[in-house]
Amino acid sequence: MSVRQLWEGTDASPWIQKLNGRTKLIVLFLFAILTITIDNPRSLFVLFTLTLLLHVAAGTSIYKWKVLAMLLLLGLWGSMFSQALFFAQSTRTPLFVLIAPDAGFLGTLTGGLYVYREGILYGAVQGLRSASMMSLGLLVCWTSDPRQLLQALIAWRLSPQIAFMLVTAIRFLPVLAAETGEVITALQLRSDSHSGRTAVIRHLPYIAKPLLARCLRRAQILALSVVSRGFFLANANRQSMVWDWREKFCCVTLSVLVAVIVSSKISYLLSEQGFYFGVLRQAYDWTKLYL
Amino acid sequence: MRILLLVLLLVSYVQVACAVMKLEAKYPYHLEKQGVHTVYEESTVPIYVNLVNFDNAAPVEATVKITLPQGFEPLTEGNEEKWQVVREQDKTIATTKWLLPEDYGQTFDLLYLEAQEGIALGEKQVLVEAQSGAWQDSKVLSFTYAAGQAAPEEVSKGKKKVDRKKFNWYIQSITFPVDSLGLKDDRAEDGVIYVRDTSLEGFRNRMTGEGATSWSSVFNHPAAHLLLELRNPQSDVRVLKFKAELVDKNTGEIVPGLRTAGKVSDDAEQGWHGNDEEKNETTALISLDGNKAPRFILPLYIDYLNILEGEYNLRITISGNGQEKLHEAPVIIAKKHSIGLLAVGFAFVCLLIVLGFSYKIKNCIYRVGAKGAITVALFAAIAFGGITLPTTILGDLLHVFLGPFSGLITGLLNGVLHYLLIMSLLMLFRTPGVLSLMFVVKFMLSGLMFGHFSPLGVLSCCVSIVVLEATLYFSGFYTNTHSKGNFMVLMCFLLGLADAFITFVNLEQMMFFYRLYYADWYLALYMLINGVLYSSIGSWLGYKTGMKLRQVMGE
Repeated sequence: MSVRQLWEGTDASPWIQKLNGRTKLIVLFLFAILTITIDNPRSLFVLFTLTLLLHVAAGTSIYKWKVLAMLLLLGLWGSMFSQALFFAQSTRTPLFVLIAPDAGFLGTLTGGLYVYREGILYGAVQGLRSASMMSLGLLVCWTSDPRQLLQALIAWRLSPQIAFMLVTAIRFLPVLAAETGEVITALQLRSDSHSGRTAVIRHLPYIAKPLLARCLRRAQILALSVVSRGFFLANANRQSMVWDWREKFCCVTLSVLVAVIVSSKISYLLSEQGFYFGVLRQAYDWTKLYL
Repeated sequence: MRILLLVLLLVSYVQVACAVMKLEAKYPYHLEKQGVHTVYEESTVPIYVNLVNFDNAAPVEATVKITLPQGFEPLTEGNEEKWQVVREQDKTIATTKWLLPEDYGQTFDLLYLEAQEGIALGEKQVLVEAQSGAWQDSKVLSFTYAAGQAAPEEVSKGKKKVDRKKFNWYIQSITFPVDSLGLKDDRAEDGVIYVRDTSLEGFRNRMTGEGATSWSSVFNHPAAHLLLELRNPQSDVRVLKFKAELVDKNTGEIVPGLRTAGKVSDDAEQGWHGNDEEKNETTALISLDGNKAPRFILPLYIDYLNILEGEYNLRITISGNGQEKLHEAPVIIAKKHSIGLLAVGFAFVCLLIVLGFSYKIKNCIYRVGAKGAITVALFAAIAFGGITLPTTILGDLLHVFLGPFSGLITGLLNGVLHYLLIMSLLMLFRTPGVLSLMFVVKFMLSGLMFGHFSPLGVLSCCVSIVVLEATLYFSGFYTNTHSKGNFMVLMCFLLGLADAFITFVNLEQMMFFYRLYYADWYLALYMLINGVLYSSIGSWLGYKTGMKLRQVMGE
């Protein structure tokens, strides 16, 4: 499967492809709010599992599952690694000493750098947030055409000029990638070095200037074409896909649910600072147990 | 005149020859109360003896003798060598010898006197005599021996049996946090101590080698107060030492976090200072004053630099006269993430500013025209393809090997390449709003292609737009169109500083939203390298590239 096929939503189940872009974006955004609101590890795990179940329901292909698994594992590893080093809670048990506190300047600067056992677990739990968001984000991307999401943004009164810029950027991404390849080839051919002339990394610092110069020339040609046809200042066609009432209902319900959860969490945090209201006692208990 | 000199010589001779001594004695002695002359039935109360000497040419020995009425026993357990006790038929005599220092000195001691059972109530006297060479003095201390106080319920019910051979005070309960009056706020969770956020000060102080920021601030505003309730069934009067320590729940070891208030002498430095001899503990002297149910409100001082949030046991140790009582209670130290909250607040303000000025961004599109807008779109596409795409995929891979430090490698893209694109674009279209447009298009591309539509993404984008646009606007970049090298060097450095600030705000937001920990030095390192260094270099390269691209524009 090519990279292009990977980012196309053609192999997903029809039900999720048919969903309106607005529904997908709302669910994605509300889900992100939920993940940063919740602290309870079990609830976080439930959210993460939910995103994986959605992938199952959407019929994500094996190849995409592999890519998803790799990205999730790398993300979780990164979170575990960083928190193992910087974990700042009691109790913490050092497993290794990377920099001793008395190891010269570095020791003084860092106050000692250790790998903490509890930090690894903490990082894994906290990494579930970004893992959940990544999983749902990829689901949305793999089941939607960028035009579908763009239509949703236009339906929310995104400026037609910005929409045009977005379309231009998306349209020219593969062209720019191809041009980058051409520039690298040209640089390799022009290289006067006998050793490592084919190494891409060697030519990276010199790519920017010719690539940007080509961009400018292309922009001049495109601008002429667009202005002469009156595209640029025209209003965008706002006739987008019909937003099914059931999807709207789901979005409203989810919005209310997220609003309740966020309010409950905020009121609980305020209660810890002394803003306690007796009538909300059950909400506090619920928040403490599940959020 | 000669007579005056003679008198002065005589006076100084008398001072040298006849050292002055002063005897001071108090019974019953209370640390906090003055003028108490009652000793309650069967209680233990200390007698305080103090010898002050002036103008001693050399150390001299003094003998102190205390004659007690019948039934009063000195408690010398552990001090047998110090105090010799002789019991006679109708009195008990305790004697000790002190070596008084030369010149000036104060030599003092507390001797606990226990009233035995069956002593007749009424007026009694203690005789204190001191003698050193030719000098001697005595004090007669009168007091009333009265019936005991009513005991608290649990003491009178006999829950704790009184052993006459021992001191019988004990710890009844510990309540925290309470206010400075000892009142418990029912809204506050039991056993949770909130400490303020001192991340920035912590880093500064580590580099300067100091302790907490300001000891006077730490000691004038204790992190919490603790209510200690003791039981004192014998109505003893004692001076006890209170000690609070944080104990690791797993290992049982004392961990850093608490401090003792100390005051440096006026000669060294004025004001509060941490007591270096008593690290990792809060100590205080408390006094049993004969009350059977004494309550103490004690401040807990936090060492903000070293304390970690989390769960501990708070170990309270009360000791005195060879006896020690321990009590442990679970405690949660919770840090207020006020800097994170401030960063998020700032990000929300930036969001409002962006929303408020969104019409200006639209106007900017008309100003730069189709050519400008398409150029911005293509630059954003390069930024997406050259920065977002590799940092999303390769960044995760680098994380495996370099962990949090992978950012210093991916920063070459985020910092150098990103600011190269920004600056070269600004050199081509030097007008407010172009930079914002590029950020908006890049953010939306990232959202559409990777599903990166998250609150943190929106807020970070807004912070970048507001900080960078403000830097460019207020530095005069947009008005000073014929700027030369020096001005551009300054501009690049300013953009580097602005990026360091953006990096700080975004990392703080990430820590706040994702509950992650990053060390203060790591934030500083990231700000310095990824922010100032990479972004300044990127901006300078962007300036140079932009100047070349101007020629392409003119073709």
